[in-house]
Amino acid sequence: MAPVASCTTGIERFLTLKAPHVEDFELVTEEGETPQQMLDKANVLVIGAGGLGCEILKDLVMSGFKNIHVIDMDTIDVSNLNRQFLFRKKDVGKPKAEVAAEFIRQRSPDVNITAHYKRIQDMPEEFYLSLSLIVCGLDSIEARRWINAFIYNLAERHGYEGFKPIIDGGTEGLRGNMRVILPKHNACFDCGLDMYPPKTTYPICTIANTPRLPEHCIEWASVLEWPRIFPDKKLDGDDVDHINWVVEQASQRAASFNISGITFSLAQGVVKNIIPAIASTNAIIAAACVNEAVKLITSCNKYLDNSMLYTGDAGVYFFAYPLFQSETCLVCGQKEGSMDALSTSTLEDLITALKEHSVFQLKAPSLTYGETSLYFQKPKMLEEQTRPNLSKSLNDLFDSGSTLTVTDPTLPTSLRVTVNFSDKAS
Amino acid sequence: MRTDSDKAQLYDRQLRLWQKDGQAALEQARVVVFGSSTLASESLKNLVLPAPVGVGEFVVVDDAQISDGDIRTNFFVRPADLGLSRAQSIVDNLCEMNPDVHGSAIAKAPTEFVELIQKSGSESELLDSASLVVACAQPEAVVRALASRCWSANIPIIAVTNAGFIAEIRTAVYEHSIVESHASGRPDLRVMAPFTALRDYADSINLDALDSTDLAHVPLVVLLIKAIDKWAAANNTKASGLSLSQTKEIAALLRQMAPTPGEENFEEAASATNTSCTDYELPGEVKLILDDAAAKTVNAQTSNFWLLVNALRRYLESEYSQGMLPHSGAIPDMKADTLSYVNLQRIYKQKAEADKREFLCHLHDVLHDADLPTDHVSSEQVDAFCRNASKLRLVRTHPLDQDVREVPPMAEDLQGGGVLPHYALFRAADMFAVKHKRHPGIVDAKPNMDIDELCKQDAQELLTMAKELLSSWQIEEEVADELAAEFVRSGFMELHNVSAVAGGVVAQEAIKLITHQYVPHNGICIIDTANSIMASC
Repeated sequence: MAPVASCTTGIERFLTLKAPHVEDFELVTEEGETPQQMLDKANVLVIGAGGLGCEILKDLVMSGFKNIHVIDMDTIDVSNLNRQFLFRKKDVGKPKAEVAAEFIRQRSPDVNITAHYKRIQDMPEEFYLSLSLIVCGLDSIEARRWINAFIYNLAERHGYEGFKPIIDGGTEGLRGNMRVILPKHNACFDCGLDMYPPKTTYPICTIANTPRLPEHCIEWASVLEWPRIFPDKKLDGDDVDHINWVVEQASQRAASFNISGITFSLAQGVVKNIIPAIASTNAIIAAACVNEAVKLITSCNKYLDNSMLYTGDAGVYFFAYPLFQSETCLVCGQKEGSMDALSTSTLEDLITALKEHSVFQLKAPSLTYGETSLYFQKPKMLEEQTRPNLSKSLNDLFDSGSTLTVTDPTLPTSLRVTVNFSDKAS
Repeated sequence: MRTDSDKAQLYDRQLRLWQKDGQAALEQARVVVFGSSTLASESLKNLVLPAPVGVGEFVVVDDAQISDGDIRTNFFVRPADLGLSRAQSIVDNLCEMNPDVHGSAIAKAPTEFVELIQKSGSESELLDSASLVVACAQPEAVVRALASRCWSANIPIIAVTNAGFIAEIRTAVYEHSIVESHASGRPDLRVMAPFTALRDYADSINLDALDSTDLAHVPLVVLLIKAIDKWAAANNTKASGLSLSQTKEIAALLRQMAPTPGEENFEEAASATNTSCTDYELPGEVKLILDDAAAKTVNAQTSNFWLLVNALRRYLESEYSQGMLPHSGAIPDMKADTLSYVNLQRIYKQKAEADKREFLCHLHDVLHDADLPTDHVSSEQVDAFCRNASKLRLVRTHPLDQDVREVPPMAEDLQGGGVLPHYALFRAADMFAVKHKRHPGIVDAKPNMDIDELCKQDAQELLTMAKELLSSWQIEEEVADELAAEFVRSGFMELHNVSAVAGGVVAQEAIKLITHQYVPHNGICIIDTANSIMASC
């Protein structure tokens, strides 16, 4: 007879009773382990301690998880306080991961929580191997692609020991989505990459010659004018003086073109690519993610297969659907990509195309052909050495059908891309 | 108090969604919550964070004491408060998050509170002053009593409940009007029937006299008008009621007119033919509002929304409008040189201004008929109404206090969404609790009984009750044994995550109802995370 009378929480009850929807749910496994023990010993990594991250941490602890790591390289800003509820005004400027972990420790002293004020790339492989599961609450596509490819690679090299499910949440305004990624078993993050359109950019010729919107004038001030006037200073979207300068320049330009509507808020929004964010959407997506984590770790109910969309701007709309592995996926499909390009186009054109193409969406690609360095973004010396290649035609650098090796900060490993000249049969 | 600039910074990420007006509405709101479980604290968390001052006037009504389970599942109680009032504890901890907040707790059982209102009316003031009422995990009797009072006072109410992996959110509001729905609509360019200033502008441009560089900078609005004219002349007809193939002919014509193949602005114009080469039509939702009985008569008690809608009816009947709504004044970005675009923008803005002046004349007539002063509706309201005339929305849900044996509202939608069995089981569970004075699956009542055996028996009884309800509704629908068993398995105890998802939805709906921005759902939302079925209607 199960000791249900002593259960004081819903989850304890669920872990000690038969599951009507899960035939093979075992109250004790062959190894003598109970679902409660699985929950107790699970080691979970939360990536991101922002809007989603704060919610995810709360949800994990309130679900009974006992071992939690949280990693975030960011510090707290005033504009976080409207939704990132583990932070107070006195915490502004401090590392998010550390403040969040301390808050959780105070609230639930029996939880073992470790903060990492670092980049995900800086954690050793053994750390990732020690995890049971990863929950991502990130706003950056780049970081999600990196962890996805890294974890996929881990599963490939270490088999079951390297198998780490990723539950990924994302929100924007009143909309959000969730993915349950089982590396090598279902669609990976990159398989659904085309659902995340690259950030809106404005053509340089519009910004420089034919501005029509206040945004065009702000881009002119921040992208073209700032580096010209302050070649050694990076524009900081959080620095009020910097944004005020952009507002002033943009306003003058806007006035000369009879364009209206430049405001501080708009300028900051364009410069920082601000995505509106509120507590309620984060709460919905984060809790949905941790609910899946509970199911994955304990098997007490069926987990989501494998994606869910939420929209709240008109009615309340949840949509669950299976996303399929993509053959063209760079991580789990064919490991090689191919590109069509004109033989007369420049290397710079090719780099731009690699950034904009929906399959690649690279951030700052460096290219090698055989032993030849075509272009390197870093270090500075190599960049200067290879920069002259940018303006060269592709057919001066390699033949059609050549395979280049591409590295990019979004990818933990290099990528092979075959370039075919569309104006010449290879 | 925070200064405006502090606030702008603190609330930047949400002001981008609902602007100053929405924020002001939130700050003046008064939210009354019944229950203090995880559902209540998680709902309130998402309201207290974005709006300190007004939702600050929130009140939590509950007499529950903090248990060991609460400490492990309700983030907003303190471990040190074991045994104390749960309502007070969540109020204190929610207020701690935002120093400007004002919340209070009433240590009274919601059932008792409701009885007082029904018998003596002594507590009704609290309810009547609310902007929104939320009932968290309350018995149906409490929900119905609150809902009935709210319905007659036109106060929206949200009832939310959780059975383990399954949650239900129900909203009732007698009437909810939305001007700023933020609905996305097709651009309103009026190229099929250009107004005078637009026609004059298009006529002032002679495409044949432009070189290829200048041609590449002509905005699509002008290109569309030219192409439609040309097509009509060639076919010796008037361009209206165009078929799909005729629209395609105009697109092809635009591609022919391009100085070089694939010229961006001509391509833009060709793809815009789909949405722009159609006759003007009032959006369906707006038509329904205009045809509503409330739009047809006015008096001094008529709400501003319906006064404005009545004026809109008169506007649309006028010769001036030609049956078209006041223009919003906005046009999308399009490939063009700065001067052409700015000119075009000005032409549409002036059109919008003229439309608003005409609309105001009709509004003044309406106000006169209603015996109201001409400044009864503020100019900001008129501006917003005209700007959003094509995006107006109206929500009238079903009441929440009808007899459980009557056919439920939106039964067909629930059935279509695969959640009618869930709805029936939630109602049956309430009947079970009334009958047995305990929730299905809760062992405390029979301490000597085997829990698996108890769950089995309760699931059977719950299933029978749900089936009886379905037959009293005269709806044929299977209720799976497993689903009834899943309900009983929960013991109707909350799971933190499912309560947090539901609390997020409650807050989202609350924000929409309070700000009158975006569109709330129509009444019932069921989330079954055991089967990944989520349906809202």
